Amino acid sequence: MDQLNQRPDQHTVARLGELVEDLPFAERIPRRSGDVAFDEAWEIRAFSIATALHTEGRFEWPEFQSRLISSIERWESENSTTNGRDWSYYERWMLALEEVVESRGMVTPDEIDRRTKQILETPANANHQHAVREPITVSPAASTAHLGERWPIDRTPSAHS
Amino acid sequence: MTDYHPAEGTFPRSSEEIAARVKALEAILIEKGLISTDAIDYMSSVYENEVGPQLGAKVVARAWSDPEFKQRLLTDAVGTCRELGVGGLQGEEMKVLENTDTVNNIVVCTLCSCYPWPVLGLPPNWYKYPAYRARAARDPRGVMAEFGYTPGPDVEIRVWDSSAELRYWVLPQRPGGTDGFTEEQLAELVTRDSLIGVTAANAPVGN
Repeated sequence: MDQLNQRPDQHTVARLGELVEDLPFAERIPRRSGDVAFDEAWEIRAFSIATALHTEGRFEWPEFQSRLISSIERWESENSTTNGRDWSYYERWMLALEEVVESRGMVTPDEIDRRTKQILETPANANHQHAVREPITVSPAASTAHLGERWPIDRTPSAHS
Repeated sequence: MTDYHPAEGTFPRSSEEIAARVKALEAILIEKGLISTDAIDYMSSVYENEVGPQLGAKVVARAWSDPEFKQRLLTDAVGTCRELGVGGLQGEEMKVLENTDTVNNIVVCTLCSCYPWPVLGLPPNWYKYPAYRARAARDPRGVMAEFGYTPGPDVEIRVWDSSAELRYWVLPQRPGGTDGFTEEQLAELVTRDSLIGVTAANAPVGN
């Protein structure tokens, strides 16, 4: 990665658009101003795991499509449409993705269960709990530059842990 | 979690549980060499702006329109965001840094990718890259320039380190030519990158 502000190439963008168009219930995919939209970070991650695995040739798209269809249909047969709760596209997506990777022997349900439990039991960012209350670097304005760059100051990343 | 099996679809589950499950699946696939983090990141980058900073933008637009709200936001970010229904930050401290004519702020997490995502949405991939984490602290003006943003030499740049305990985000300056704009119009000018501080907010179209 040479540039921080790198954007994906147009080919990938177009290819992803095609994959999305081919999805079952495509009209139900959450969108904002026409573009695919995600409300939570896990949704885009689940989306990206599936599309990346497919792009790397780990499974065919129709295989995922049919798992997604049955995952949605299962929800609809088990829930009445009048109970007020609708299905969530990416919950169904995640279930379909799990079924695909499990049926192909990539992971077992037990592996996912155990790792999930472990993640839930680990506090987020356990190694980065310390609050840093002052700027770590100040690049002064030209008018005060004669005072010198205040970096590095006596705070190294190891001071956090 | 043991009551969750794909075939049975036992819902509802909490967002935290399903997020952990997605993370677990990703970690296992990567460890087994079935996929790389880069490949997943790359796919995410196509749509990452769509997990947008809509909430953060709403808060900024209010702050630009209401000086008292802005003052409260700068003193008590968590409580003031809650006024607008922006939550999910229990037990975490959050601070909003105001950009002015003389001071620009930029946020980095030097150790990992601590990010106030309930307000800002998903962090961009570059936020996690070692290159950003190292260079933002060493050469903030150089990093900003890569995003096409070059604050004048009379502007001081302050770099802040977000941690799990205390997360920062930036209140960008209100762009010129926006007199009489509604909060909805203003919110559209707020970009994710401007809330991290690597760029300014967008100028209104036509300016």
